[in-house]
Amino acid sequence: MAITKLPPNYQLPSPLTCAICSVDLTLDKATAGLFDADNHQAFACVSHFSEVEKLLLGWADFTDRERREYLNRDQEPDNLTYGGDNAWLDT
Amino acid sequence: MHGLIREEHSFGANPGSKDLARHLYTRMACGKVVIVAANPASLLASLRKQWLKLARKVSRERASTLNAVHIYELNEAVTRMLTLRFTTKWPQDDYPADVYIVTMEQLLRWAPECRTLYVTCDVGREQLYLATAWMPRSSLIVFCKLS
Repeated sequence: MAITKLPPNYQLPSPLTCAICSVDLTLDKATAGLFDADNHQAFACVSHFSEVEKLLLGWADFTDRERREYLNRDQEPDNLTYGGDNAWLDT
Repeated sequence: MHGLIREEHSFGANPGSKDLARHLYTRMACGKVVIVAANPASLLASLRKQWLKLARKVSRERASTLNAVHIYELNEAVTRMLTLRFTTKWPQDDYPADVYIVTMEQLLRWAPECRTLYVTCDVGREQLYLATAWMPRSSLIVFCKLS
C-alpha cells in the first residue's frame, strides 16, 4: 500500500510520474518525497525502497534537476536544503 | 488530518527501522520530522544505526561513481544525513533537533508543526486528530507499523 488519501482539492500533476524513473504512477504505488522547484510535492515508486542504489542515484538526479531549475531562476535551492515554505515555522 | 497526505506502508515481510531510514532519506530536506513510537529510546537506537549504515552506503556510492552530478548531490546528501539531529526529548521549542522520536502522550501535550509524521505504533483516531492539528497543509503522515 502507499498513498491512501490526499487533501481536498489537491492538484495532482497530470500525468503523475515517478521522480526517479519517470514512469507513470498511480497513487497506490506512490510515495511522497521532496518538494520540487515549484514547491509541488514530488512522488516516486514505492518499489524503489527495496533497491537502495536506484533510490540514492534517482534522488541525486532529481535534486540535480531541481537545483538547476532554481539556478535558472536565480533563486536559492531552499526546498532541497531546508524544505519548502513553513517547513521551519517552529524555529 | 484533513489537509494531509496520508501514506500507508507495510514495508515487506519484516518491517523495521531500515525501511523507515530509507523513507526518511527521501524526506530529510522537507523540514522537521516527528516519529510516534511506543518506545522512543529503542527506536532511536535502531534507527540511528540504520541511518548511519545508509549514510555509509551513500558515501560508498559517491566514491564509486565518476559522474560529477552524482558526486556533488550524494556529497550534499551525506553531509545532510550526518548533521541531522535526532532526539527523544520533547517539546521541540527547547530542543532544536530535526527528527523527534516521541510517544503519543508527549505529542498530545505539544502538537508538532512538522512536515512529516511517522506513526509506528497503534494510536487512537481522536489522538491523531489532536496531534496533527498544527501540521501545515499538504504535510505527510506515514503509517508504518514496525515489527
